[in-house]
Amino acid sequence: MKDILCKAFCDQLAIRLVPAGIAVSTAFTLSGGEPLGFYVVGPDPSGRYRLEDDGTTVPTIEAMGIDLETQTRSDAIATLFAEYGVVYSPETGELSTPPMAEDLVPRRALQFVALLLRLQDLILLTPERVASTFKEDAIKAITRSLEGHATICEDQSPAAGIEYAADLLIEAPNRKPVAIFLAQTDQRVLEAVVAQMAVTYEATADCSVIALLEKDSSVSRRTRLRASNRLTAMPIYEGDEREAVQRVVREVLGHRTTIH
Amino acid sequence: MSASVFPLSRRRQSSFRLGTAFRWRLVRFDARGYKFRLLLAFSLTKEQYRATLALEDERDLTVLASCEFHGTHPGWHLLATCDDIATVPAGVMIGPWQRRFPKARGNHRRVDFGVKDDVTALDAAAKFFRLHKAEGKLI
Repeated sequence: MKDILCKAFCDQLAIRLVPAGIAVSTAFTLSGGEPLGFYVVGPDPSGRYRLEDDGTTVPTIEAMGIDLETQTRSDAIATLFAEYGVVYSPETGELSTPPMAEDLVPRRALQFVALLLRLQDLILLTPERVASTFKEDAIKAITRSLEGHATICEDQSPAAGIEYAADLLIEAPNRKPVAIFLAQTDQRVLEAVVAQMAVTYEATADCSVIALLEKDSSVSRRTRLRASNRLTAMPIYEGDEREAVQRVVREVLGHRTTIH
Repeated sequence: MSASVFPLSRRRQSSFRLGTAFRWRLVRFDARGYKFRLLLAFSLTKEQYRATLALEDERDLTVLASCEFHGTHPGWHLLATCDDIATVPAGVMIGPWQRRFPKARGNHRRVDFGVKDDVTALDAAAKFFRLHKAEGKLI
């Protein structure tokens, strides 16, 4: 069995010389289909080696919307890097190990690969990545449908003193403003409900509040019940995008208006 | 590289920012009424290269295709979607809609890195994305 497992792990291991040192390709595959690879850089004048990534791991994580400079994430990532004995250089964008003797390279290489795989999971599982497409797509569709007909502001509170900002606050001439909460979770829908209640009972300005759900299953039945009875509307985006956007348009411009 | 070079999503304030491990250059051009950004980045020491083409609007970049080479597993290849461009999510660098041509462990026709300097790096992108006019200048 050991031989079979060794073969599985090692058969696709490939190395080649590059100016930096040795480029290593492993049997592991990243989400895009690329083999996971790393570099053995050196030897330095004292005969020691470093392990490095290609300099795109952290930039790719940050490109997915994960801000590593926020305290919580920064701490979590720093802990992860420390666990694997790896440092990140914000200047070069590379992950690397401290210099080590040649005989330590194989063991440290396994740890380095393990870290790269864990970081890959971080890219795939981040909520921002899941959230991004729906929100971006919905905002774009709504903006396009109302272009020239209404003023649209992002991340604005429906009225002064209301804690939760709407994703979109839309105002058309001679119509009351409409606040759109793009919702993928119970919490976001409940924020819309709180905003609606605050507008209704506390704020002086009138405003409609719509929770645009990503999908039918985005929220629990209980939350849906509460929201349905309190919000202006709660259309569902996925699977009926055009009508969901038209529902927003009707609320903004009036019931007889349809924009193509 | 500053965040304004390749700003994927202005709303989420996300961008693709490489460090000094890469030399890079940004080509911006208009074609058929659309704006595009082409990010070229390479590392001679690690034999890494990417020329990533994105459609630009007032809010986002939509990554359409990326011509790449990686020193760890050599072979020029393309990441792109087979579907209509309108289906590509904006503001995202990588995702399951992308396909790799050829497959990573498949046969690659060109396995020589070939990039030696800024000129050859630009040439690689210009040839692939046909940036040159017939008279030999960039569009």
